[in-house]
Amino acid sequence: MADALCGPSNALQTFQKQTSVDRTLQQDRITARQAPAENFRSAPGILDAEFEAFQAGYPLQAGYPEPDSFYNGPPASSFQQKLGQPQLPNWASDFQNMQLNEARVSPIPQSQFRQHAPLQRTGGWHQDFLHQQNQPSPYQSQQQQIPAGQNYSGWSYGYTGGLLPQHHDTLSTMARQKQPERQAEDVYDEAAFERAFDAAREEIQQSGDSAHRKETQIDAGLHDTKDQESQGWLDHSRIGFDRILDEAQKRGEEGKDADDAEELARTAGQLLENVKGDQSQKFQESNFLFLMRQLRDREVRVEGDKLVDVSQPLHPGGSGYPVYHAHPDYWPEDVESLVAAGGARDREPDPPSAEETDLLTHHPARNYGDLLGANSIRRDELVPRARGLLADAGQSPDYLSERTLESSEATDTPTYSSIDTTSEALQNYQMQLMLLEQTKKKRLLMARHEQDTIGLGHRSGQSSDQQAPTGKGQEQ
Amino acid sequence: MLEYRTQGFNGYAVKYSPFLDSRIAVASSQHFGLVGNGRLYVLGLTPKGIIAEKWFDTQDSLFDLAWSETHENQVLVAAGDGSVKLFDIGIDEFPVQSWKEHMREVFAVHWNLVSKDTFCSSSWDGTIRVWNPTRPTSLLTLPIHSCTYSASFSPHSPSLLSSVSSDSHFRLFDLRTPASASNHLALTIPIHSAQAPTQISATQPSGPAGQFPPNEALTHDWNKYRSSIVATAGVDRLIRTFDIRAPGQGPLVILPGHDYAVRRVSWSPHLSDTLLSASYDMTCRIWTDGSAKAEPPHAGSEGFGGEQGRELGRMCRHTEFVCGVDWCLFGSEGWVASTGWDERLCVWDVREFMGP
Repeated sequence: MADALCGPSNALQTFQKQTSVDRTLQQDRITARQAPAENFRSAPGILDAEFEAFQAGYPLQAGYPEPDSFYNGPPASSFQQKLGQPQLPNWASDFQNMQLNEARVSPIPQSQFRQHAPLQRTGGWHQDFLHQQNQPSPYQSQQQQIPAGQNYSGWSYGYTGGLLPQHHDTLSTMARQKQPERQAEDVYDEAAFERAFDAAREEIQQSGDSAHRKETQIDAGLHDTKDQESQGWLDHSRIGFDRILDEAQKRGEEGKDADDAEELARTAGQLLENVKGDQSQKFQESNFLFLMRQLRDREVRVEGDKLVDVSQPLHPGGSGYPVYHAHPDYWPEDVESLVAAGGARDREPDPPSAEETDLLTHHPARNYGDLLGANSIRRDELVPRARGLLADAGQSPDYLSERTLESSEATDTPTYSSIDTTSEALQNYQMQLMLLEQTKKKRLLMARHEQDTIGLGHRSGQSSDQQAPTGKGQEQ
Repeated sequence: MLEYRTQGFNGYAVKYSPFLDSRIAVASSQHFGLVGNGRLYVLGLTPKGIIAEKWFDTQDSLFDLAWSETHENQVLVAAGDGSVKLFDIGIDEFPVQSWKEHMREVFAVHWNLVSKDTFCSSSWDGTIRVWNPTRPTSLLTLPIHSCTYSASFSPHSPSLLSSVSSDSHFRLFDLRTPASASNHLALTIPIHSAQAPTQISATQPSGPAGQFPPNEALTHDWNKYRSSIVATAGVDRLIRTFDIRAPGQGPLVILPGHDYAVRRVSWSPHLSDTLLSASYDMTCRIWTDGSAKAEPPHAGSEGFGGEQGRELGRMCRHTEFVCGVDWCLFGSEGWVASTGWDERLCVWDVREFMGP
């Protein structure tokens, strides 16, 4: 690199430098590729160009696509393939231009740079963007002409070191002007660059309006990337929970306060509808589905962070109502069965209305208040949460068979079908074996740990780190 | 099979400690996570069965947890109020640290297994945040713009971070890339994309030309041996594996079988081809993606075309939706823990449930 900087440079030298660049795997990273047809590493040229730009200290702009018309020279991605072809002098001279950028190469070794990168980037791209806005740089309005689906297309700026101003109109004309110049002189003309910058700046000022509009859009949030990202495949078809959130948001904007209980009941109803076809015993005995039925039938209401039984004990279906509670799908005309069942059920009296359901055991851990943070879920968030949690639950392929799910009583305790005693002994034995093995393992770990501790001095915490991946990953 | 009842609390996630073979943590919620409190159980496996060594109550439901990779006594939980809390087993009752930046329910937390100094959380507010346990604010925010059910660091690289979300896409973030317009986003794979023609296996349920409608993706996991392989699953009841090196190829293997949405998948830490899944159909199932037969692990290409994923066995003891599964890292290779909405933690050996 030193000779390239000091002596007069020529095409061959530049080329040599290019070929001697270290391209080992460590400089390879997974880059943005969206074209589905693209195979793995089908276009090494893209990586190379990005890498060059990266080394030159310019922000990587993989997300900034550019119309192809921008180029008059061969695209960077075909850079390597064209080595042996007649265009050689052209690109070589362009490459010479690039060397000038190296005056600004950051002295930080590349490896060091990489290690720090993840933690330093707390800002996000929009901050980078704003930062660039403050400089009199012609990057400003470039985002405006992003064509759909062209993100991360093969375009690469490395060809010109990432420096060239990228305003569409200016640049294409400018580049066209500059081309003959290059061919004639075969050296870099700084004045030409300056002129180009000036032209670009003027252009930007003229189109300042639109640029400003764009800017405000970007400031408005990170939602800009969504548009780019979603083009082509997402469109506006939000699915699942996203749609639920959107709906909730829309309702909030419209100022319509939906009736939570109503909404919750509807959600529960939908869920039950989805699993209606499932005849399995598990589903019929499910506590969760029983709760859903209660929610649907407004027998249970959410108050604060409790579920409260609000069923009317003496109404049909209520706990105090003869028979029907146990068999709620009987109708009053079903007199015979009513009589057969013998009138009022002898069942311990249910708690009166508006008392906690004893569906589930409650834990009185609600009073931590300030220490644990604000009180739990806000009322207006309940419905989205419920719908979010339930939306994915009941996706059933068939809704065909008709059935009432009203099952027997809510079993307060899930039935733990006892482990049969014959296999229990076996299991105990197996468990002991397992524990024994684990003890051995632990001893081994301890031994290793000690070794590490001795080896590493005080870094005992560190050495136990070393164990974890061993256990997790490679140990067979 | 060993069982423990998380009475009054419905389990959402379970994880074995990476340090101690006898310790398991369960994140659980009252009322199926709809309302009420959450509780983090720290359980010990003893010769007398499973005992609760410690538990912590939280103000809101807990949906996920992750053990610290740097401290054997610390556990992270994802809470419904948008906070991420770090509990220390040596300290009673209260978290040692709590971060509240997410706007909605946090649904996943995952510790960086390689660098061990960061962890990530993903939330229904459509963002992933990256944190350092010693810092009060997040280091990084990655926008997804879609309810993100699952986020995880690659077990092979400290700077690769992946997520699946409600919009039916798998995303890969490379934190080494500059935070430009793409926000570290390196790769997006539509999970519902069709399989490449060369890979269509006999097991594939054929839609019209292998097309699937988009469906919410609920979970994903990185293969512990093949660094480019991830498994995803979700509402469409299919488990799929993808190779991030060939994002355009579509799924490598599609594993149909679950009757309802799949809530959690986890690759075995012992076998490169074995998967465990937990589903709303109240079963846990063990799968092979068929790669072990086609080629030995670590071989470059995953044998395009030759793979036959299939179900190896299923565990049906749970009586409500199963939400969490995890493999034991220690000892013999088959032990797993599962938890679900039936207030039950089961510790079992997958080999008992596998066919010959």
